[in-house]
Amino acid sequence: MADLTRRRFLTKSSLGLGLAVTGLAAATQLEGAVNAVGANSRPKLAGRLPDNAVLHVRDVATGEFVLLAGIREIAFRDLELAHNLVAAVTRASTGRRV
Amino acid sequence: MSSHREAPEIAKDPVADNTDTYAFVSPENDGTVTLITNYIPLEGPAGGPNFYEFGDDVRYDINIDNNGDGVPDVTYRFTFRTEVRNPETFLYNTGPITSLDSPTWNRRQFYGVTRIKGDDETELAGHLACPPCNIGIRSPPTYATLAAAAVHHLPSGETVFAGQRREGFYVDLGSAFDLLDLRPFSELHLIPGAPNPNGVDTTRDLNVHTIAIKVPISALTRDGSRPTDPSQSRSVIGVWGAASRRKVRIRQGEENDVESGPWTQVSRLGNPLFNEVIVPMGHKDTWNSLPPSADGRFLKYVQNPEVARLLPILYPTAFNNLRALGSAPRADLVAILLTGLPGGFIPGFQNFTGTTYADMLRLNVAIPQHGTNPYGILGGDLAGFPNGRRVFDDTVTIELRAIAGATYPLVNNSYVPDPASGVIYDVTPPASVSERFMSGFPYLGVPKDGFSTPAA
Repeated sequence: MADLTRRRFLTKSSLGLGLAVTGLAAATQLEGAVNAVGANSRPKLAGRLPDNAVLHVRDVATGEFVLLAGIREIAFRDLELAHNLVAAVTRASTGRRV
Repeated sequence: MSSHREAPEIAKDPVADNTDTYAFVSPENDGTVTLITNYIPLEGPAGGPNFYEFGDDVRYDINIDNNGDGVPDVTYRFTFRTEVRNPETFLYNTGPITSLDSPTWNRRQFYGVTRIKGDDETELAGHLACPPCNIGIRSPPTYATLAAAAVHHLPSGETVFAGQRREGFYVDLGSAFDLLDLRPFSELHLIPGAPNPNGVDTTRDLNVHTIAIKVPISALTRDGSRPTDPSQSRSVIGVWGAASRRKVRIRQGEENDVESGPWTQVSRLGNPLFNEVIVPMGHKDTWNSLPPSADGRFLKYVQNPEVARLLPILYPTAFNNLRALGSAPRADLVAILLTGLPGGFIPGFQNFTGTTYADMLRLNVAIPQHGTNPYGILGGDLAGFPNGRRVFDDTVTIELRAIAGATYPLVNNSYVPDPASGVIYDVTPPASVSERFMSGFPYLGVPKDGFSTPAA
């Protein structure tokens, strides 16, 4: 993120895969799709995210994510999640536009 | 401008746009330093009904480096909250505002102040009132008195003010940006024009939003002392302002917007005009996001500033000696802007902070504040710019003269500056702008009111 200006970041987020984890109708739609892929088979989570956490997909090809949670910024890789999100977006694009 | 709308992105975000930063030993108390950062450029006084205010979603910092690494050792942080009494009216005020708690003042702003030293964060105040904007004589009928009540003395020893003030930065924008049409020798310009030797004070009738804090010197120095020997390194502090926003904002229509992620710096200002005329356009937004400790990457632009290359081209007969310098690195400008001046160059003065290149105002706090020469050190007044910066310092003229070669003899005593470099002026005479200022805190004058501005 350090090499991105604020505007470039927002532009990239809005044109690419930017996902607000809470509070967005679009996110709810995607969450449902992700759950359908297999999240329900995971053990129940012990922790919780801060309010208004936002997940930024920096590079879908490598599964590079940045989670903005509270005032923290956490980078991680999860190729499976990237694939699931792409699948969800593909399905969502054939349904109702939000 | 000093740093008004100086970069493409911040020009679109006025409430976070740090327009000027000042740092000087307080004239009425040599044991304190006054630090000022201004925001919201080019406020037209009549700009209602939504008059100017700080951003509730912006974090405003005044940073102090006391060991020369370009990283803050002390930060004073200001955060704001707006309170609306009646959302069912469009009016800023529904009657005269006669006090800071006047029930007819509908949209008020309050702020908190936090001091940060290392891992220690101390809230100095939580709910201080800003004054209203100066709308006109029917709204705040006694504005000066009202604003004076918004000067707060904190139990921790600081004095603070946050609110609208008259713009103190005077500049002849029309000449500067019209292909550097310097009025004193406009007739020598490469492109024929219509010479007009009378400078235009472009910002004369404009206001700005000011955050000012007066701090005991001992709260800022590296060893907690109040230095009295200007030659000691502990006598010098570096100062810059910065504004930050959360990394992400999600707009949700009727629901409240949400913000998330770390605070990200979007504006910064140490020396006036640094990002404005030294840093090229393609790097200005990046510069605003960086700390001073990263300024080494901009060294080449200080060593060979674009304005110094342009002057001999635009004035083919006026800057022959500057032309002859060619691409010789401007060590004088590097010292003034990025490291401070070591001892031995100017008798009785130094503000050197070491070898780290960092754009900061460098203030030697051991030099008392008794001078009034707007040309600062160029005028023989060691208490003025570039020893920190006072509100009345003519920084545009000082920097133009320096870039034109007037300060190059500091590092090369065989160099003879072009006579033109010594007669450059911007708004002239500087005495004509004195009405903008106050002799006491917060030093910037009462803002122009919307009803009677512009004056007939």
